[in-house]
Amino acid sequence: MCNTIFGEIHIRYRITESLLETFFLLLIMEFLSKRWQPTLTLPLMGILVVSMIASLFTMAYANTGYEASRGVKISNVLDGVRGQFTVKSISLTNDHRDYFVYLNFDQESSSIGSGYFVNLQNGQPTYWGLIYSSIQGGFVTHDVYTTMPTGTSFLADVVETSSGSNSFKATTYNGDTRTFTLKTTTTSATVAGVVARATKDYSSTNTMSGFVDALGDMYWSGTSQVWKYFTDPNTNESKCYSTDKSTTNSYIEQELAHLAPGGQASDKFDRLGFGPTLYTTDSCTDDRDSPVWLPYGSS
Amino acid sequence: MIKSTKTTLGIIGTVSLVAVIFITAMTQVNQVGDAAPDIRCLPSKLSDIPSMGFPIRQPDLATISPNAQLRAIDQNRDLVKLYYADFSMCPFDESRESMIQKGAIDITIYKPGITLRNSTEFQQQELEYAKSNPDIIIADVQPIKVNGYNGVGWEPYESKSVVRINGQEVESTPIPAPGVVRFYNDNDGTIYSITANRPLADILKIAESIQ
Repeated sequence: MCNTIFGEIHIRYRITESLLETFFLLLIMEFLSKRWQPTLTLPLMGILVVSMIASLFTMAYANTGYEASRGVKISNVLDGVRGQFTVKSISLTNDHRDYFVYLNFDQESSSIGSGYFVNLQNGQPTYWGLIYSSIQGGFVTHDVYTTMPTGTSFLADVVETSSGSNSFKATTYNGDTRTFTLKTTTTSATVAGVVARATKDYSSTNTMSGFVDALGDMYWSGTSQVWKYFTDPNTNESKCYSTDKSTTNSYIEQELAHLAPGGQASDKFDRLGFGPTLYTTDSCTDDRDSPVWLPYGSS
Repeated sequence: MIKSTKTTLGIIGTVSLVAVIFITAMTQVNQVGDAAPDIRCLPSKLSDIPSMGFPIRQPDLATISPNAQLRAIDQNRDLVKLYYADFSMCPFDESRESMIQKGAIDITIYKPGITLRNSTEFQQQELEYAKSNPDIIIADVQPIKVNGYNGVGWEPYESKSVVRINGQEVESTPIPAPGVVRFYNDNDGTIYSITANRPLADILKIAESIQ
């Protein structure tokens, strides 16, 4: 599993494994050098050192990142996504944070999202309603509108404006909206998800706490919207992606659904917390850590 | 004779040692903290995914690179994405943007959400979309033709990530965006969208090799 504590154990295990490997290989080299060809010792040592450095490099490379995301694959046609965000106070010294539910449109490598955004205004973390977009052939936008105090809960969604339409409306805090018209051939989404992310990785404190509940996806049944939780059986696959969960202070998510009274450990999720300190595990039911369903674009 | 044997054995020992180190290192690359890396890897053979109900045509790998292979397949309800590269994508844990910047090719194939008469209509719609959304589309969208099918394409371009407060831009960060070729296959009614960090002419060659 991917509990961060286990993550630490993995690293220790891998370092130990590398040390054992080194010891074992040194024994082999010693045997070879004494028994057959002393002149081979130096090149062998060189190969070993280079390999060990390469090995440690790949381990370090795999442990960097600053993004936590959940995506779901839906059996129905997918026409909407929503989530109830609760804004938590964060420590912020620079850059910004994004929290949003999103629809991906893989037909044209585009995403539309809705949620909230945090940046510094006069040196203070400021929380804004956010509408996000990344459109193929275009650029990435973070449109922010109305500020809100910490503790605020609000519903954010992205919904197809009518059945079979290529128009999608994003609504965030205070009812601020933006409607996007996609290509005429794009009339449904391919991924529904939620993400929390930072432009840089901060390792000493939690600078990305946040909470989202009642994650849902939507399809049209005739002329009416049908909403389902991400936990619905029609959600036949879910994926989480935490870019760094192998260190104690990584930015990660935690599935909270099964912690609710009566919840089952086998439940998928419709509630998530983000960031270390408050939440220190990502209890992914189906731990397919793939970026395939991350929103398009960048922080 | 004895010296020669010792030398041979020494070389065999060295090669074996290198092989052990290499295999171990590669195993670590494929284990990002878990003992079961396969769940983090996508299928890499078309025979490993369910039928999409439309043909999935592939490019000539030689048009991509000498060591290119189909590395990952992501399948959704009505769409399939094929990732080609000359590097491993297992585990599949790098961002799409990063992979494309490193040379990966994304070929997305799907049935359109509406009925199209032919590829000419598709091309007209794509061009009209770019023309009518100048505040959104900044790539230079051009008409192209792939093996007789009409479509559009554009060169890689400098995109950006912006922050706007109530419409006023307060921050803008440049980001590279790849080139794209999109065309409609009149015969089987599918749209192909090819994304690569390559000149448009090179992406067109890949598109034309799709059979």
